[in-house]
Amino acid sequence: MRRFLTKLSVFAVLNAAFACAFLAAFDRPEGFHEWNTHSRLLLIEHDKDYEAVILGSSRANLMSGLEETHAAVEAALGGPVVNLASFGGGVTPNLVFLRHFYARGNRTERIVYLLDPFALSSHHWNHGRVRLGIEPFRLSVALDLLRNGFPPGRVWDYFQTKFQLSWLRKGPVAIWPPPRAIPEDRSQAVQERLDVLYDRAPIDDATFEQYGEKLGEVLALAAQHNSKIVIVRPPTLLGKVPGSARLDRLLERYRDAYEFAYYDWSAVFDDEDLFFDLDHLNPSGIERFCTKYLSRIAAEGAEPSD
Amino acid sequence: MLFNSLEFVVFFPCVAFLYFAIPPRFRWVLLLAASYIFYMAWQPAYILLLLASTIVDYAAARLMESKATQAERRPFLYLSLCANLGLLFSFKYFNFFSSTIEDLLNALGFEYAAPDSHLLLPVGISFYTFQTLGYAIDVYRGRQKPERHLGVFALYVAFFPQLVAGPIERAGSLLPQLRACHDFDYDRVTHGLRLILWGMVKKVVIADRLAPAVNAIYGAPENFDGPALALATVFFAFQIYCDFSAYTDIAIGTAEVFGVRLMRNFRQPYFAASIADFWRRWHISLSTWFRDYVYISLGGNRVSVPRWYINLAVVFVVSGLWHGANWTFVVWGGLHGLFMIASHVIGRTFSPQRPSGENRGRRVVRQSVRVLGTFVLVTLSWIFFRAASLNEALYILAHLFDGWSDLLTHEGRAAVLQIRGLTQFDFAVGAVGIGVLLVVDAIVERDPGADVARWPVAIRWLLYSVALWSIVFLGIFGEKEFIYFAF
Repeated sequence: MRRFLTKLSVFAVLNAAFACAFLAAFDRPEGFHEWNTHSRLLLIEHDKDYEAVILGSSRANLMSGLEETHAAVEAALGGPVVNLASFGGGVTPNLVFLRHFYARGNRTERIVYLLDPFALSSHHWNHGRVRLGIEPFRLSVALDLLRNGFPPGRVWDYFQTKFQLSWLRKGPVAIWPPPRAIPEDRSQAVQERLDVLYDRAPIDDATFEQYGEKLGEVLALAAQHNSKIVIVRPPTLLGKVPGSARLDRLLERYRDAYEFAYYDWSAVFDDEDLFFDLDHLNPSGIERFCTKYLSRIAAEGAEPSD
Repeated sequence: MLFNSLEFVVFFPCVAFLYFAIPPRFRWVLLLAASYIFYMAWQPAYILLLLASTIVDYAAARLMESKATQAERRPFLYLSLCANLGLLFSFKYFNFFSSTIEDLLNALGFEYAAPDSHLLLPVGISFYTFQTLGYAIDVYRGRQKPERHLGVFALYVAFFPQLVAGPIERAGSLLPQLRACHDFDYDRVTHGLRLILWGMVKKVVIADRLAPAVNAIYGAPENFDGPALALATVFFAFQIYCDFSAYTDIAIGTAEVFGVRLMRNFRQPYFAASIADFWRRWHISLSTWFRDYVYISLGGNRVSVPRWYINLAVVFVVSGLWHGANWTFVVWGGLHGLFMIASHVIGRTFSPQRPSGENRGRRVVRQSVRVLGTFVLVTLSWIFFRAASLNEALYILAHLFDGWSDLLTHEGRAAVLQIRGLTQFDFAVGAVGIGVLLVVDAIVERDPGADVARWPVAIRWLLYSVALWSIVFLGIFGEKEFIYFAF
């Protein structure tokens, strides 16, 4: 058996070396920004200072979907910004990306988390939707994903996709999606959108509590690295969404342990011309949001407020 | 738990490590516990069915032990038959027969709505019930002494490498191995791991790569012309071969690590020169099971010729039905029976005299024609195996030769490759994979003793690395079950 284990170890080491060499050779392309890649890990530099890190779902991601909208966000927040919000991003992927951000020696004045209740409402948004195939492979991130409950199959996909043509051929892509029309009968469209966001089911207490704890980890991580935290309910045409009161109660619980500012701007816009669908701002909406609301964060120094 | 899953990649080494670490007298306990954990990874409650089958056949065999004559043993054999076939009928065939009776009565003008069973088909039920039935029949016939150790017998029923998709083992072969002590053997373990690696390549690189195109075309055959239908059918022929033989290779390789030799289940089936030869090479454990327990019991070929043909037809129809509760499987099995009978009739009627001293070239050509002809017949019959209904199968068969002239144009050729689920890359990988498979099979067909173990170590390691990295680069993952899990 010793002979077998020795040979197996040598074989494993040789192939691991090949894997590392291959991953390194196809790993760190240049020229990616928030507006030309869906990847978030590709945006994370090393030992850099930022004014803000944006977290959230696609609603936050698209704030930097065009070069000019990202510039508007940076202007509003008063300095360099990195947007780590991802499509399909529940709390868990945001936590993993933020942890990697700090692990790379980066610093940020504040975390601006554009948070919605649906991000804490299902495993689907926390483990199922985030696109790991577009992210460069980082062993620390893979291990963090496993620690945070990602299925092993998804973590294997994260690894395997680095050896596939779609990754090897990747280049900058425009991420701004085509606009969707907002129907005249908004009520049915709202219900359909809520069905998608909440998996056609009421919010499960245990699931909300589970991902509420992940939110607490985000707050703790930011505090540990001396970053101020700002939680924002971004504008939406969906009205008062399920879980809003539950989220408010959760944030109240966390006020004892962590200092953070909270802005509920979910109802500040009702003009359809500012949206490209029911819950994503278009470039005009982003510009207005940045100048009228986001700029208050930097101006008010992120003091706790309503 | 699937063989091509990360759970198994963790499960198997852990079990193997513990197996060689613990005292030999406890190894059957470890393997039995591991087998139950393996099975319960699907549907925990269905372990009760496995336990029920185990206890019934253990008891039936023990009760037969004290009986001197077959007549005295018969009631206990019937107990085993009723229990095992009853399980199969309840979970697998109830809805099929129920709806058939309903259709028949409705066609005769009677109003009848048959009851529906909503029981989920337990994974592996067709395999383990046949394995335990075979055991009971062998005990009844006096060919097998009943196993007295309940734990070892339970392991015989539930041994995880072959539990859910075979090979269907004979008690005389497997029980002694499960009782024996197997020390770590370098050659045996490395051979087992090589089989596992090759099985994984066949499953995730070839079979699962071919599947989307087959599913797209067989899912809506009315949207496709002859070339696409033919492509899907040929792809399916290799998909099912790679899928099923992959499972078998992984099963045999896994068992071999533990020192247990399972029977070979495939022997280069697409190199068969006749239908009879095909069934000596395809799913060998099932075909020999039907031969020994059904065909011979009916009299085999030691009867009149018409009765012999009936025996063949019955065995193949029942074999088709074993695969699934659908008329398509019955027709598939029946077709093979028909081919067997026809080949015998033709052979008796037209026995060609081969000239003595026939040159090698002509022999090769003749053999190639026979192999190709057999492949065509087998592949055409796969249409019934794969189609969702008889109507669909007949549609595909009827339109197989439509639109071939379109292939003469660039647009026509491009249209074949624009099938949803089939990119040019998939087509290339699938085609190369089939080519590699046929080359490997051809090598083994020519030299059954060919063994990679005898090659220089650098070449061997390069080959293993290529296989491993082909799985990483080209493997399709994501809950892709093996086809035979559905039987």
